[in-house]
Amino acid sequence: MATLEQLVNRYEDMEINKDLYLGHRNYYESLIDDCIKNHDLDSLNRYINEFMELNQKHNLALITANLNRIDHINMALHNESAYDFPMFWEDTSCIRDLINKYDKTIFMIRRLTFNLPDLYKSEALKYLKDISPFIIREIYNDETTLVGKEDFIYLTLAMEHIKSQDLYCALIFLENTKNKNDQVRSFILQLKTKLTDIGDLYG
Amino acid sequence: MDDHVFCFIICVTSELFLQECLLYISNLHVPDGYSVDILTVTDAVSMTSGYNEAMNASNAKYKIYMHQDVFILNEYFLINILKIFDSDKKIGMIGMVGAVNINKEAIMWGSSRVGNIINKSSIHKPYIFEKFDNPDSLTKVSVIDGFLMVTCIDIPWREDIFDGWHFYDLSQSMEFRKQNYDIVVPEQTHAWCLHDDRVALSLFDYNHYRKLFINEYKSFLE
Repeated sequence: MATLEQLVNRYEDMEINKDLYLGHRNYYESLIDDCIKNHDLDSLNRYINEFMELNQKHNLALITANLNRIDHINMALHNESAYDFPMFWEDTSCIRDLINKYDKTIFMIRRLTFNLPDLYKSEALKYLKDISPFIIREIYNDETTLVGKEDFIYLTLAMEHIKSQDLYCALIFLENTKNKNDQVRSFILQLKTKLTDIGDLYG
Repeated sequence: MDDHVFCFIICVTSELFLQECLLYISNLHVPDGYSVDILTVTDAVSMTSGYNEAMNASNAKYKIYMHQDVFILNEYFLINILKIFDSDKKIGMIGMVGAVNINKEAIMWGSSRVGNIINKSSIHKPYIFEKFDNPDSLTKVSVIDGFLMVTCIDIPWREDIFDGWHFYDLSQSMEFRKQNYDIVVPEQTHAWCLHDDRVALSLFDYNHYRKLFINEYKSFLE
């Protein structure tokens, strides 16, 4: 934990260098906005990496929670592209839209894990069925998010996808579970066998 | 003042967050004979001015000032608030997190804090709704964190000095202390709220308001 003196120094530094830091941040946010508008994944990856390097150079003064989240979304988008899933950013055209969608996904996950009326949980399930396992996994990896019961969510969503016969998606959710018991392992094996039989394993 | 009304006062910049916040509020048990109002403030130029506007617009005795990114998980929250205020008439304000003493640099997270918030570790544990029933478990504090502040008395917020988005909470804590009210934080085995503050805050203006705070309240700092 930082000492009081270190904290004061940090805040003094941020006040003195506000224009410089904001300038850097606004520049990269503008570039990233364009990437999202054009759905340009390669450029997004490049700019995020550049930004993170610059952030490190300036002692983490540039980062915001939103840019950190876009880093995680970027990773999920790459997996969605690689595994031929619908892309999370398909219906978004700027940072604000993308983060709003990410926030809504977090809210829906939370609804399933806290004691809320069934109506709200049903809404959550309906929404989350259209979200890829890669985004869900990145939300759990994201240090800025507060979501719990990871395996419960993966298992719940796997079952939903099995019900709607999206076995490939169900398999990925099950493979994401951290604590695989015999039943989960058996399910994974069954799904792999079924998908291999129909020639549909790993897209 | 209507002492059978709770008024939630929320400064809003996102309809998405507001609706989700209200969903959790709608799930709270409301004590018999009491009602709940919601006041949202949009386009506020500062937290203090927004809160002042809302405070003056409501005759509710119990006002809950909260961020739009706060989700009240404990269904007994309102019942507990009433019991806490009823336990001691000197209590003027309740927070979920606070510091017993505030250091000379006025950085709350540089002092040891009391209370509870949901974090990366506790969010995985089963959640249990807690009823407050032990006044001895309250901790008297110097300042509370502004993500959620509950009052039973109206004291103007210092929009004359704190015209941004920082130190409105510490300032208001001082204003309550100046008028000899106690500020308390209840013990929470399971945090009563989840604050989705996303960890990385934009702190460019924080130091400016920190210095203003120190200048205004130097006699209260250790």
